[in-house]
Amino acid sequence: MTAHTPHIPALASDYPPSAPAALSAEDLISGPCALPIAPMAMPVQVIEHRQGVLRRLLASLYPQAAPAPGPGH
Amino acid sequence: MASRLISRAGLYALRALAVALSLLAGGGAFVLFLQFGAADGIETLDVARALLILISTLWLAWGAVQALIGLTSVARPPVYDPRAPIRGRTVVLVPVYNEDPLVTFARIAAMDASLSATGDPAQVHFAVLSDTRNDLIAAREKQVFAQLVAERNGVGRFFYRRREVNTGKKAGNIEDFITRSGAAYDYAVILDADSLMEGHTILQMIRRIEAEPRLGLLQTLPKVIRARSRFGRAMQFSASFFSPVFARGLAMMQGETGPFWGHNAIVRVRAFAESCGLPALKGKPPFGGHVLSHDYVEAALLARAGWSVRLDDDLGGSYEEGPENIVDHAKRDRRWCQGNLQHGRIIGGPGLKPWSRFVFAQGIMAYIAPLFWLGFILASIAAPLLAPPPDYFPIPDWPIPYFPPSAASKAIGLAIGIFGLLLLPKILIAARAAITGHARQFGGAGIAFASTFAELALSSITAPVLLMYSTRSVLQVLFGRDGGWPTNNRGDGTLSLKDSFLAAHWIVTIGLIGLMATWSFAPGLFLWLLPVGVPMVLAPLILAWSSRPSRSRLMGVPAEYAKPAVVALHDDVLDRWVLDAERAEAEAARQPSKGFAVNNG
Repeated sequence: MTAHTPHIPALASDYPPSAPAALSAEDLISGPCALPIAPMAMPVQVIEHRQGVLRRLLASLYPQAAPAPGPGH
Repeated sequence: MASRLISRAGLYALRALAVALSLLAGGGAFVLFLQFGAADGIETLDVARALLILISTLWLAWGAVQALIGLTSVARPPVYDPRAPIRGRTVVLVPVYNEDPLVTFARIAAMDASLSATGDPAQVHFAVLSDTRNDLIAAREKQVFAQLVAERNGVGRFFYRRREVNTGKKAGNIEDFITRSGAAYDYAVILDADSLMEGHTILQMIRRIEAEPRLGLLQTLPKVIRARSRFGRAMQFSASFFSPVFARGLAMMQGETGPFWGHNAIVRVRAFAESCGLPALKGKPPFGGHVLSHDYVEAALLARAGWSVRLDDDLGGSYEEGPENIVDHAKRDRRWCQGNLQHGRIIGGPGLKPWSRFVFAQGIMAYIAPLFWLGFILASIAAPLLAPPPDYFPIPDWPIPYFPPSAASKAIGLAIGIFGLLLLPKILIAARAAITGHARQFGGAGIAFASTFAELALSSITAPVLLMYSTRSVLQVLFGRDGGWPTNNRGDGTLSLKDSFLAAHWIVTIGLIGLMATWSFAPGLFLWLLPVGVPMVLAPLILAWSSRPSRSRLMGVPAEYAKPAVVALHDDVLDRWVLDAERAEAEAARQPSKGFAVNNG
């Protein structure tokens, strides 16, 4: 366990040292050598505008409706 | 790193100077060409040609200026404690895609052994992220992985997973890891299947990112190793001798908006996860779909989110392998071309830093620049057809003919200028290496100079061929053809004459037609175009010749004179594993009913 990360299963200490000798390649990969389960969110970023340059340019030329008045106005 | 060396104002001044110098060179070429064209009266085509040469020269000058700036300083480490205890947990990610498992996993064994040799107690794990589609190779991966785990006592430190569907290709592969296991790690070293790093280098990367909480990504400058062919060794020499200077110039100009080249780099997992989730672009490939050249985009997204992205070009011990022949180079370049042109969709993305947009523009320009040169050549061949006949008697009733003054000197001046931009940076790099003693690592000053000229000669011969492949790639992308995700060819890349001809016959045809058209329509240009036309006509011979093993003393690199420790470790492991595999095969042949015997611990 580090200052940054929580404890995760599937570390060497969780398995007896003799484990590899007893395990087949498939067992290793589905067992102690499977990726640790420690999900982290990776939100999808916006990397392109919804509209093309020309459309955005044209849209900015059209008169826009005034925004609705907020609460208290 | 630049931020530590120069202030923000200095950074902007440096960028402005670089752009101004490039504009000056491009503008000079433009004016000189217009003067050349004006000798017999300026036509529309002259202006078009001058514009084409303006853009082309601007691009060449930008590269040259980068090198000149790089020559003004040397790479220095940042301020940090190189012996500080490492607190965070790191995973080394090795994405594989139909690679030879024996060679790839032997690299992991070598890096792990190199880490062990440092005696550092840092927690560094390895995860093989397989996107392999070939079931036979996938089965072999599992077998060799088991051997790797047994040999390195790697249970709990080594992981393997194979994706059922390789959505998003390499970027999707990394993303899959982070969403599944990212919270287990503070840092991730991202490698390619052919990457190799010294354990000491990995540890210093971790210490550096740990010492700088705002650092989201740290990129090293990998050196090409193990090249054997003439072409491969020229690329290797170039990457080792010239590239560090170009990279220094880049590092000085980019500030905290540095590059990510997709491998041999470390990322802060949280920063990467927060900032780099890539969506599929609107529409279909080649411009839509999954982002191909994801690394540039990820660097830009990290910078957008306020993370620092840095190139630490002082760090050694970072290696990769390169293509051994022009065909493999062109295949890789096809993929990069599509990826870089796809950035045209992202360059206007919301909130990106101006330098990130500039980097996208540079990447696009790297691939479309050949089109401007080609346009210039074609326009020059066509110019005499469209030019009005010379008027030797412009003044009515004047009996003595008027011969327009020759503008050949201007054309020669322009050619010298352009060649200067191509040659001067490399010659200056060799000169500095000779003066500082750096050339000793390349066989001494004499050998380094001779190697520089040999590389210049070889790149001059191969440039027209590469220009044609680049042009084809750009046109294929522009006409909507998706290049897919071909497997990288690694290993011996010798090309037969037949294979070379099959790969380059269209270049020969274009070269012949171009030379004949020049001879017919613009004979005055014929000699000027021979350096472009002859290599095109001889393309199959150049492909085959340059793919042959090199036995020259020229173009030697430090890794050839003194094998790096991790490379020696890789050799040892691989030799042993190959022997084991051969024994296992022999055993299996003797006992066919038992199938393929594998040491899986």
